[in-house]
Amino acid sequence: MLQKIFLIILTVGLNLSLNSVIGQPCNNVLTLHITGNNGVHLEQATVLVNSQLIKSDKDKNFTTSICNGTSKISITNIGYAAFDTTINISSTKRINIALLPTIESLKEVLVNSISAYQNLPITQIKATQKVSLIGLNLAQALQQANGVTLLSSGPTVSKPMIHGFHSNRILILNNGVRQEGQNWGTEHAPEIDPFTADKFTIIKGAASVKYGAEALGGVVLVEPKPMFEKLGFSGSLNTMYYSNNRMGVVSGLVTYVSSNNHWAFRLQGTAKKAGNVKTPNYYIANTGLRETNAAATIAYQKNNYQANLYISNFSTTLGFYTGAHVESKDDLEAAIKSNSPLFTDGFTYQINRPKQTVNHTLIKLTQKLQLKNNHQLQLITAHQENSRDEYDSKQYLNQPEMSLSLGTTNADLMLKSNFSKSFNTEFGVQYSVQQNINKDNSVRIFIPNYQLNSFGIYAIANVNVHSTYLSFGIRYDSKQFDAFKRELGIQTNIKRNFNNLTATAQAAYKITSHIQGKSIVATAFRPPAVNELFANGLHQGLASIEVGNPLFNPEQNLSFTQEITYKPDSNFKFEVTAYSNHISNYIYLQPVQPPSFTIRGYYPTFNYVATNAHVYGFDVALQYNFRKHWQVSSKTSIVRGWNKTSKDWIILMPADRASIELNFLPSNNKIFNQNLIGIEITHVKQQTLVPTSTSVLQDYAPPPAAYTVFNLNTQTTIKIHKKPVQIGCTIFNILNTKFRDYLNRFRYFIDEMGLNASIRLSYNF
Amino acid sequence: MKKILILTILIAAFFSSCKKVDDAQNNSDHAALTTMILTFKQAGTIKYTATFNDPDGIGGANPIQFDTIKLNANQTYQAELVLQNKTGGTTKDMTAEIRTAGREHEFFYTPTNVSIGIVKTDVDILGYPLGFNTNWQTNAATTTNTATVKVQLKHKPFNKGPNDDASKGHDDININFPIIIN
Repeated sequence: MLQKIFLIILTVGLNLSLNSVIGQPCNNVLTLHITGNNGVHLEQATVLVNSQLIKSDKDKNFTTSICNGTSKISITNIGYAAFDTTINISSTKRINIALLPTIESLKEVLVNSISAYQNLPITQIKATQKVSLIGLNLAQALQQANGVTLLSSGPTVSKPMIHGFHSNRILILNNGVRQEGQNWGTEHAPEIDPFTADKFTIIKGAASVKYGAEALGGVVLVEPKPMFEKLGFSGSLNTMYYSNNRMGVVSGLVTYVSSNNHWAFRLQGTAKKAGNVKTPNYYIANTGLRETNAAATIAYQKNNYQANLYISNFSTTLGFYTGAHVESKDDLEAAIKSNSPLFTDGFTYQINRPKQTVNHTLIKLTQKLQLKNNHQLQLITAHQENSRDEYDSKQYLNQPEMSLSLGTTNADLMLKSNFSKSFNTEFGVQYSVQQNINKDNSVRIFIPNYQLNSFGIYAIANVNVHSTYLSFGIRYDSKQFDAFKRELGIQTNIKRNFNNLTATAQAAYKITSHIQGKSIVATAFRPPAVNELFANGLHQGLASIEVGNPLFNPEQNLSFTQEITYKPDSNFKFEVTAYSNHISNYIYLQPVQPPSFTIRGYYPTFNYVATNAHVYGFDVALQYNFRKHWQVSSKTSIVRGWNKTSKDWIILMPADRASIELNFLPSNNKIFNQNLIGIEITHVKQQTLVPTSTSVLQDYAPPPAAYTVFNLNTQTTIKIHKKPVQIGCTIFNILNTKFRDYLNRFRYFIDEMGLNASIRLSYNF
Repeated sequence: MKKILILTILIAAFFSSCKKVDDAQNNSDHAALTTMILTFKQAGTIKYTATFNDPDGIGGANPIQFDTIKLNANQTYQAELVLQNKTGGTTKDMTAEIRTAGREHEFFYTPTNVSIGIVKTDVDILGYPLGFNTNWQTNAATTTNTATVKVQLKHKPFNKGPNDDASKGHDDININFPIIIN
């Protein structure tokens, strides 16, 4: 049955056949030319004429011999609504058919390709866009986006920070599933292999309505390549080597799509090995790492149904600088005072204590069903297991001192409905169960066992009114948190319930023909994390005692974002994103007096407290291609965090920073193609906006000095046995600058990495 | 083909550990040192005992006992140190355990504002000084109430030498006992 909304352009072409028009009844040739968005030629549609599969010809059109009379045509293609029609044939015919995109791709078409993610201020990065960052960890790859910085614990552990928000104030989705891996820990890096990703989407701002709690400061979406892109075998092989910590990385991916375009299989794997990191003056003891990851995907699509089964495992061992795990305040002061670190080493690949081993397994099934009248139902069911072992520098037995196992099962059901070109809706229901268990014989119990049941339900409506794209959403969340503690032989069960409503209103619009704007008002919430509620003891590493508060209420964020983009042509883009977040019950660590008196002496002591916070700032980005071979781009990011209650700055906010990149692209020649020589300069100011209250010691050392780092980047593509191989050479910190970064927790003890020369080979097939 | 979405897979039971979440781990730290008892003897007779006791370990409540050492001037004492773990509500002796790991540990006694000679008399398995047992030679009476003796237990696996000072290794214990010499 044809729906009115289907766009069908029937063009009767000239008779291309040598036979005369009045030929035999079944000697007609039917040629179908199938197009999609913006007229793109769909060469891999599944086309059935009278229930027979039709192959494509050398022009990538679908041809078949056909008899006079009526015939049934049935066409499906991923990303498009299924098309069925009956035609009447009396001669050779060529028919052009334009398929209508389904909801997801439709949103990308509406209003000048503004993001499909409700027009939030986003940065979309192809994983291969900044090739110099391929091979590094996820947070380092995300850092290329303006407004994203790194929070590190030494050189082996880094996590992303968006506009000053980190840990469980930002949400990371791995292939559609919330990454659940002890995210509350500042020294717990996301357990995701960037090589599994084809694209990173960073939403800079509150996005709780679609993604739920913890999307308070932003969301990172890590998405793999679609499965059905190329029939047969395709894939890539990447290998790189870094001189500084002698890190070797190998990663490979192979995809196979069956010739009928119904089945697809993919295997992916990565292995990494690195030794001690070198600052300009010394090797930092015990900073090696190992990583092995593997992922497999099976996908199926036919007519209106798609299924995708994804299984992945991420496994790593990370060394921590020996001198960073101090056992007393005296130890801490000695380590900070010393100009050179107390523990240096030569180069070795060996990893000793202190160290972490982390294993993360994910299994996920996504199913999509295209219903009549342009509705799509999607169900995601997943389970992930995160196992984290921490080996302290002080060893009692040959086992980890802290051993946590976090298991999360979730089910998300979504109904997306496309009512017209200018109106679509999305409804969703989400449920998850999470359990955190301290494994037997754990020496250190820093947080208790707990179970967390979460339920969320939301509705989003998107409307296009005269080229202004409006979006409204509302969501209800209910979480039940059950903690189990055993003290002095008695077990207690502490229950907390968190219920919340969040909403969002957004608009994306044209101000002039070259200037676009986005305005967003959104609320978001974050329930207190297990460490904020129940920490009561020594936080390993910084010789400090942290005390939680089991009665905290959730954080509530009211956020405003305004983005203006000026894009007069494809060679120039200027974008400003300004934001303001008003957060009540903002939870942070406040130093208290007196320090705690213990058998190891006095420990600095911190209580988790709640305050009202204002986090605001702006990002500016510029891109300009000029004179055919030159590209310049620059980014500036300013973040301010103000404690409204104590009228002081909030600790650990990123310092102002700016970077500029200049690239020269020499023309292709017989041997070298896609050539690039570039230089990147990053300047980070000294962070002076830190808590100034002098009644208690606010920090162990003042923020480090400003610094400037230079990177040199070259790449080219050559042909080996006629296959294109990309070669890249990047020298990070080419001037071997000695510096420390305020957002590195180990800055009290050690400098950042010195010069690092890398060589990279990438082969795509 | 209208397939009903029946392929919902819940593999939680398969993957999750057999341990149940509501079977909480004992919060006590199996290897904590919470209590230190320093006993001063002369000719086998106990003359004085000074105790430091923080039974719930680091964090939580403050230490419940922290004695001042009180000795007589111009005397020699044989001091013995005992370590215990009182977390979890029971008392577990830790002395033997630390002695067994003696080649990773060493005690240091550092007087301030008082004249005392303190010499370690016991050794570890390699013959390096250990320090559970010490000889204290007191001299003149203390004239100030800021006299202290710092007792440190340093942990230095693979790193212990025969002539180390108190700067090597990590602190397992770092207590400044006030001291009065009469």
